[in-house]
Amino acid sequence: MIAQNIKKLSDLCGVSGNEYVVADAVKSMFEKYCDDVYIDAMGSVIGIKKGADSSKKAMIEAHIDEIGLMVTKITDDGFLKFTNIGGIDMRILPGNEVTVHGKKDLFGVVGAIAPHLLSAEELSSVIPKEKLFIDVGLSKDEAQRIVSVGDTVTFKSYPTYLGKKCYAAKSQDDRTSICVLLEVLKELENVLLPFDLYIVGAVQEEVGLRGSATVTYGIDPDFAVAIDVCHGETPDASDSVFPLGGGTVFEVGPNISKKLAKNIIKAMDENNIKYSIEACGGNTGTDAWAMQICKNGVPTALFSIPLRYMHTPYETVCIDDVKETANAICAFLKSLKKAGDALC
Amino acid sequence: MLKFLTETNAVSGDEDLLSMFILNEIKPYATDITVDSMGNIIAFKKGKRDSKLVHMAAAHMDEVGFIITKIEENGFLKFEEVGGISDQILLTQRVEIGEKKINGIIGVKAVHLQSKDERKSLIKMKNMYIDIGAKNKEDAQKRVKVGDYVSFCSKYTEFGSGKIKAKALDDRVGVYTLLNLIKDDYDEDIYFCFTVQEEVGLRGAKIVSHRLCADTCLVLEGTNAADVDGVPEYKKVTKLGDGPALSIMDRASISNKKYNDFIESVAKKEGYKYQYKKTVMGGNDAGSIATAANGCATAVISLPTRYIHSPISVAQKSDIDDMVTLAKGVLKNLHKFDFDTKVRF
Repeated sequence: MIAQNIKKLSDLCGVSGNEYVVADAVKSMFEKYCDDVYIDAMGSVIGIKKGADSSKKAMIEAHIDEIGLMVTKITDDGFLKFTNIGGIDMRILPGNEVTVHGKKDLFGVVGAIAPHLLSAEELSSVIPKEKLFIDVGLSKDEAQRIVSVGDTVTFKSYPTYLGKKCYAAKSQDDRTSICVLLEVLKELENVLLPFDLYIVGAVQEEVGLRGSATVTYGIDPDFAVAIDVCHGETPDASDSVFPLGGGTVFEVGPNISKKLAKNIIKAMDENNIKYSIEACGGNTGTDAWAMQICKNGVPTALFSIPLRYMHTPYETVCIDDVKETANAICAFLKSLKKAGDALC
Repeated sequence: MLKFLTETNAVSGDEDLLSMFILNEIKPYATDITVDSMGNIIAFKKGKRDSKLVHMAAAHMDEVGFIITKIEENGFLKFEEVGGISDQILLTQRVEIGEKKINGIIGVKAVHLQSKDERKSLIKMKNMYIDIGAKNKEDAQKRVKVGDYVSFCSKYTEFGSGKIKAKALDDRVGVYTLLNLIKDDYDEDIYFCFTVQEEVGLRGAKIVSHRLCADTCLVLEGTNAADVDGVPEYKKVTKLGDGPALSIMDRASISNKKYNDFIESVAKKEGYKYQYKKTVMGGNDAGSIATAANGCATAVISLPTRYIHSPISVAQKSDIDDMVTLAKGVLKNLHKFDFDTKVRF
């Protein structure tokens, strides 16, 4: 099921602030397992799985938005100038393909002036952001009929497995964590938890952890677990990275409730979960950071899935790590006789 | 057809797959076919009458790509370019490796892990790596080996107003044109040549033209179209939609003036579209052919192509049709063309 869901979810396009298509799909996927599913004012999806005691609430969360680009100008020759939504390494753009979400979806490429016409100095340096453009193969008039300034643009990738277990596609950050949520729901389908479980697909993480803040405020859970991605090991990165296929990654540090962490780690150890610990001295850069200080405060924990090439068209994860993250969360939730056990 | 041609991988030195397809296609139309020691295909087509001159039409089969140079202990692959490819367009490209078409990605650490200085500096190809999802060297060796050729993975896509995106339009569009041309009948004898290793130094064409000692040659190519954002008008080498381009000169050759005039006269008489390429940069097989043996009157018709030597080359479909039409018009009228260049020693 992970393989199908991961493809289905990462194929969908929803740049921060424009998650509607993703939200609708996630809502219908949640509905199969939840007693109720709704979408809040900002656009986040919230599913409720009723437990034995509805006065207690737990929340598990991932974000549904993705990084992308936004059209800022249509030039006289019909090319599109753009800016980024969320952090993007502009060096990866030339030569890549995109989808422009205008009145209809348009195929485009990020063009680069041919090397033959560049000076030696230009050739050996990064193409400046302001020189990049999207070619949708249309004249200005033709383009204006379909594209407006402010339209969002997503990477167009051709998803593929690298080897048998690694899946490379756009927006695995953080759709792969939505797969974890679905996997948890499936595993717990016939389990009556001692509290209501809220399953959240939050919007606008990439522009400042925004959707999760309003969702957490609305739910006001007794404790919350966020799921996001962390950096996978590559030859050019050695610090704060984790090997693909090495299991799930559990975060510790000021962002994480110590009591919650103790109980989660205990459950993982008892169930032989394959995990690594990542220590973060401050801002984890994930929704967990916003969730922790909602309302009167929410004890928060964070799982991460190792991912290579974050914020590129080929974000790469190992399917086994996705499954192991779901196993870890299930093991923890099943270990709780009552909600209070999570924080004792 | 163009979809198949562009999606087939044939990096310089590894043209066999494309070559097999071409041989199959031309068999019914050629009088005689020779495949030489490097892999060039020379297809002779007898004309309706005896030719005084030896005529040649050529396109190269190969495309730019990479070759695997090392498999690292951690299972990642090092690579080198085959042909000219800019470092600027490689990061996070999807590639296919070897005959089994193993999927790979040219990786780069996430923007979050880059320092401000790193983000501003261009990563050199020698510092890049390909990720095939291998656990370690041993795991990688089960799927790839040093010396495997690597191609961009890019689907033929129609988009915009009559445009296409593909890899290797340089020079599959030339191959496509030749495959169309050979199906027709001509007054003169013509050698249709599909050459290898253009991208690494116009090498296949060298031995073909030496073998044939042709008097004339029409080279069919893909060339730069710089009709894109940020390029001043005078630097817009060719423009999409303005028809195929004739060359006056480039770094490798100067087109035969009489041949160019002849092409123009055919185009004007028939009302065929064409434009002149407005740069002297670049070079193609014409450089090898024009100077082979006793020399050969050579001209070039090429397709304006944006983002050439990248996985996302863009061309106008009408230009491709116009290129076939113009090239066919030229070959059909070859018998009328008095080259008067044959020097006998």
